[in-house]
This record gives sequence, C-alpha cells and structure tokens, in this order.
Amino acid sequence: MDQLSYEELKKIALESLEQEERVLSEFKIIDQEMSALKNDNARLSRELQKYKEFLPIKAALKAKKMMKK
Amino acid sequence: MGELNIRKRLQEIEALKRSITSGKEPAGEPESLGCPLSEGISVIIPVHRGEEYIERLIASLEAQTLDREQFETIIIFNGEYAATEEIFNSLEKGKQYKVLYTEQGVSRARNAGISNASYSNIAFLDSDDTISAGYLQNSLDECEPFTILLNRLYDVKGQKPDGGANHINRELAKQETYPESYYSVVKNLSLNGGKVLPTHLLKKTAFDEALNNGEDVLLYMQLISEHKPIVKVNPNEAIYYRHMVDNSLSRTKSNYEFSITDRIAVLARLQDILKVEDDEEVRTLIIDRMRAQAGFMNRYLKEHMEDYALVAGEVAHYTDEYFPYARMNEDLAKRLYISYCFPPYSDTSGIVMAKRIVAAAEPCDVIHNNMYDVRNMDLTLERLAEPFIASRREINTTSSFAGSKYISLFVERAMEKLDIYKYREIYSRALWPASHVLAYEIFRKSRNIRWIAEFSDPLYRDIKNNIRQATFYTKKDIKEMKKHTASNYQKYLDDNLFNMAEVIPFLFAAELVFTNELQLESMIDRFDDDFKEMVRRKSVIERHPTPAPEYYSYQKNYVALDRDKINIGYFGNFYETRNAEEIMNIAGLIKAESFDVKIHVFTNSTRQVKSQIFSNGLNGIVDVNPYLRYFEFLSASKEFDYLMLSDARTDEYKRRNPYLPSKFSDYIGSGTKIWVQYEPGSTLAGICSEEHGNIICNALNDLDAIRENLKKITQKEENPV
Repeated sequence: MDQLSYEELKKIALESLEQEERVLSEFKIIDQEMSALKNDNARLSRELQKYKEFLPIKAALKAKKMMKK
Repeated sequence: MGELNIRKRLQEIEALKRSITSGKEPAGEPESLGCPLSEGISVIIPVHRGEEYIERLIASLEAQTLDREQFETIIIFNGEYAATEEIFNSLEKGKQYKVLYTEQGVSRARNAGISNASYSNIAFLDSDDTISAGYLQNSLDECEPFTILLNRLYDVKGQKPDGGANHINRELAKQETYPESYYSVVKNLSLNGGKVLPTHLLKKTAFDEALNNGEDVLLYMQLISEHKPIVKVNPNEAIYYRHMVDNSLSRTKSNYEFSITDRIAVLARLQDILKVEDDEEVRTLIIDRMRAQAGFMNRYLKEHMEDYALVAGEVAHYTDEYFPYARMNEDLAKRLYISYCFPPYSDTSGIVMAKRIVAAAEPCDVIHNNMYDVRNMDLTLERLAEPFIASRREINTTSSFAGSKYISLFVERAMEKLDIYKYREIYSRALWPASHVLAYEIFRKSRNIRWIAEFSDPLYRDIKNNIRQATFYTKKDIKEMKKHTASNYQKYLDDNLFNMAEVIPFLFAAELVFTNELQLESMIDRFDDDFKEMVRRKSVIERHPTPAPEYYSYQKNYVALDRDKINIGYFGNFYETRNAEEIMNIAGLIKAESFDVKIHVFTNSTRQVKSQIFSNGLNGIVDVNPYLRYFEFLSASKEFDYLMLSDARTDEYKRRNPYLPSKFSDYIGSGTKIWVQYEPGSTLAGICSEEHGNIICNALNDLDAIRENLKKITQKEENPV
C-alpha cells in the first residue's frame, strides 16, 4: 500500500465502486421486474377476490361444490 | 432482494465517486429546525371561488365538538375569492381561524397552510366538503406521532350522503385498525379527504406546486416512500362528507391536457420516487397508482386514437424503472406481432422485431415462445418495444427451429390463448419458421385478416446454400392449401417446413418484407417467372430500423478504451462464413506497420479469439471482451473512434450475398464512423458505393485497401472520410 500514490489509490477506489455499481445495476433490473410482477399478482388477487364475492359467482361456486358432494 | 437497498447504495456510490473525483466530502442532509407544535389539529382549507359553500363549511367547523383551544382552521384564499372572503368575514365565528393569501393554486395554498400550522396534526378539507361534528375530536383521540389516520368518507349527491357505499369507504370497511399493508388501503391513500396526518411529516414533504392535478396521489406516495408512516383506520366515527359537484375533476370530460399531459407529469414524478425506493411493498403501491394514472390515458386514447402517435412520442422514453405502458395500451391493439423469439430473450431476430414495433409506433399485441432453453434472458430488452405493447403472451413450449412436434405444440397453445378475431393485421417475422407457421394458422381461420410476413434470412437454403429439410405439413394440410392456391403455384406446395415457411407467406401474405433486394432475389430464384413477379409485386425492402438516439443512453457501459490510440470496436460472433481470420489479418498489419490502433472485439467466442491472438502474437493490438447486452452495446458503440462491420463471406456458396449485417442499423444510429469490410457485389458493397460521410470501406481481406484505410484512420488532424 505504501508504494501506491494518491492518484493510484483514487483509481483503484473508483474501479471498485464501478464494479459494485455494475453488479447492483444488474440486481436493480431484476428488482424492477419483480416489483412489476408483484403488483400484477396483488392486483390479480384483488380482482379474483372481487369475483369470488360477486353474488351470482358466489352462488355458482357453492352450487358446484354441492354437486360434487 | 432482502436487506439490500440497491437504489440507496447506487446513490451512495454516485456520491462517493463524485467526492473521489472532486476531492470534496459528500454533503450530508441539512437538519431542519421547526417550531414546537401544540397538541391538536390544524384544518387546512384552500379557497378559490367557493362562495356557494362557505357558509356550510364554516357551519361544519363551528359545530365541531373538539375544544376551541385544540384546533385551528387555516383558510388560504387564492385565485378568485373576493365574494367568498366577504361572506366569510360577515359570518359569526367562535372557533380559531387563520387567514392566509397566496397566488392561485391548490398545492401552493395547502403548502402555505402547512407552513403556518401550529398544531401537531393536519386535516385537509376542501371548501365544498364538510365533516361530521365529532370528526376532529374523534380523530385527535386516535392520532399518533407517526401515523396517517384514515377516516370514513361518504359521498353526498344532491343532499343525500351515500352512507359509505362508495369504493373508497368500502376499502376501509374490511380493514383491521392497523391494515396489513399500504396496498390494502391504496384508494384511501390517493386523496386528501378523510385523513389526519402528523404535521412534522408534512413540513418535510410538501405538495408539488407545479402539478395541475394529481398532487394528492403524489404527496401520499412521497410521504410513504420518505417516512414509511404507520397507517391506521379510525375505529371511532369521524366522517368526511365529499359533496359531489358537477365540475369535479374525476367527472371532467376527458381532454388531452387532463388525461395525457397532466397524467404524464404525475407519472414522471411517481417514477422519480421509484428510482430511489427499494422497499417492495411501497414499490407495489406506487406501481398501482401509476397504473391508475395510465387508466385515464387509456380511456382518452380509446376515444381519440388519432392522438396515439403524439402520446406515444411523449412517453416513449420513460422506461427507466417502470412505466404502465401495458395499461395505457390496454385493448387498443389492432395488430398482432408473431415472433417465435422475442425480448426478453436475447436474439437478433427478436430485437429486430421489437425495432419494427417501435418504427410502426402503433399499439400492438405480441406472441412469442419461451426461449429460455436456447437463449439468454435480458430483461432490459423489454424496454425496446414496451411503449407500444398492450399484451405480450409467452407460450411455454420447448424451443425448436425445425421440430415438427414442438412447433405444432406452439401453434396449438398460441391459438388457445389468442382471440384472433380482434385483430385487423398480423405481422410475422422469421428466422424461426414457427412464426410464419402460426401466422398462417391464424390467416387460415380468419381470412379477412391482413398478413404481413418478414424474412430475416432465407429459410429454404442455409448459409452454405444447402437445402433445409424437415417434414411438417400433412397431406391433408397440403390438400386444403391447394384449394386456396392458383393451380400453377400448387407445384410448390409440399411437406417441407422450410420450403413452406417461404412459399406459404409468398402465396397468402398481403405484404412481404425483405431487408435487402438481394435477399428477395436470392429467395425467389428457384421459382418460375410468374411466381417471382407475384412475389415482387407485394414485396417491400426495408432495412432494419435504426434506434432513436435515446436508446443509446439507456444503459451505462463499462468499456475500457486506450485513449492514446485509435479505438476500433468489433461486435459480433464468428462462424464459418464470418471468421476471426479477417480481424487477425488487420491486426497483423497494425502490428507490422506500427499503427496506433487498438481493436476491441466483443464476441461470444472469447476463448477461440484469444487463442488466435496469442498464437499470432497480437496481444496488445486486439482486446477481447465478452459480448455485451443490447443496450450496453448501443451505449458502448458511441465510445469508439470506429466501428468495424464485416460482410458474411458467401461467394463460395451463393450467387448473391443475401445478408446485410444487422449491426449496420445500430452502428448508423451511434454517430460513430464505420469501417466496412464488404464482399464485392453485396448490399454492404452497394452502401459503400453511395456517398456516406461516416463510412470508409474496403473489400474483405484486401490488404492494400486496408492499409490505406488504416493510414486514413490514424491521420488524427484530418477527417479521413
């Protein structure tokens, strides 16, 4: 370390930060996709719930269950 | 991503890099010194016009059961208010009131109110709305220092309150006192009415005064992102009465400014929050609100398709983080693109299809196969055509270039998923024959549909001009096809997939797209003159589209160049008709004649190229790197002094060179000078013969011409081209 000049140290530090930045940017892309998918899932679950609670469907589901029995 | 705060760390890295480069310490967050606040509620009411409601409003405040000493009302007159102010002054009032004046603007007025609030909590009230007599008392009892308190909201139409039978209130009805997530009360977190908030949070996060509307959605998303407050549903009765008036924004007739311009402004700011937000729960919430904003855009576009190009242009490059393009384009598609391989799978043919979608600039649906078994996935590639896609359907089948079983399965599953009758047009593109096979199946079922078929490369003959053979169509299929085929063309129908992947589109597509003239001529060479003429009549030559300049800055590149030399970039893979030998010859010349030039090769075959470099003693002249992903490649392409482009060598096998390197269109858009190695007679050679300020050329392996070009390239003072 003693042999390194200030400029060399700066260069090493910047390179190391750039490497970390590059890896994190990759993570970020996956994370972006993940949050979009999570939102889709949350929205679809809510829609599904709404359908299940819709009376005619609720009745039909119940009837279907009865028929199976 | 667990505890890893990606975006926060990326910001820290940016700050650290700046401080290392500049030698200055990164600046810390300034601490704000606020005045102490009394326990109670400041009710903030912006008033613009409102003369019809002011008496009712003051009556509602005067009726509050909360002690006079525990709340204040801050009226902020802004815009037109003279008549209202006069009425306000004439009213008898027993409670505390502060009156402020600002320029017109509801956000500006509310911010002034927040700055002047003396109590620990704030309730917003619109001048045309009212609150129940116990609203403030019952709210104050439940207020907490770090909590957004949600109260009941009743809509009043005429004089009749709906008793809470509205979608906002219903959302609260199912909740525990402390809802399990922000998302479960998302609708309540999108408007000002019916909430009491800690003043200290609002003093740190203000309304955006530049927005015409949507400022409330933005404020709540900011508050949640910046402070992650607790949300609580008031178990006591505190009712906010929202009096529905005819000119309320939600019922304003859809116009461009409100539905498009204002929505884009809100979306841009919500996206700015996403850029620094790592918490998945909050991200989900913000994305939901962004989708709601895009819903307005979608409704507008459904009525005004003539404005689509304008809108698409405005939102085309908001792709960083997330933009609700799919919601904006929902149900607008009249064209279906069929591309067996499509982004996010990394494949040139898929990328070209995405570029075609961008060039067409119309809303569309896309269907493709899951190519995970044969192609890398590059999620960033989705950004390319995303602004125009309403729905992208992926079919899960084993990827296959020629396998009859898997292609049939792809077609079968795609047909199950598609509602083909909603489209006016289909556009199929093949390198992978399955694209045209599916397109024909759709066309067969719905013969009124207009079919555009594009050929990436010849399919019937491979790069060495050998005939490709794979049995696919049955006798029954062929018999049925013959019914729709002129008798003199029926001889071309057989069971070979690769023959039919050319012949069927030639016969049935309304338009055929080739990337160059030689490709067309090469592909129709085997037919009789009548057939050739029929194909030519419906053919168009369209080179691959060049991406817009913005795409070249989507992703950062980390390419290390030698600034003391002329840097030449070569991006591409090597195979039999385009091998690394040509690069080695050029590098040999650079070494032998000491040109100050370095060649940077980006390829999938790094080991093979490295081996050749070391064997030829060319290390130091040629630098080998792994292939870059598309947007990093676009970004890197701007960095070089020259980009090298080589023709495939086909003269040994083919009468004409039917290939135009797809990189050409990307290189052109980079603005960097291009050094072309062409095969005589090729399309690229033709381009070289035209006047191009940015291109220098020589024939493949013409060492004298290469030497001359190297001399030109290294003449730093003069522009060689």
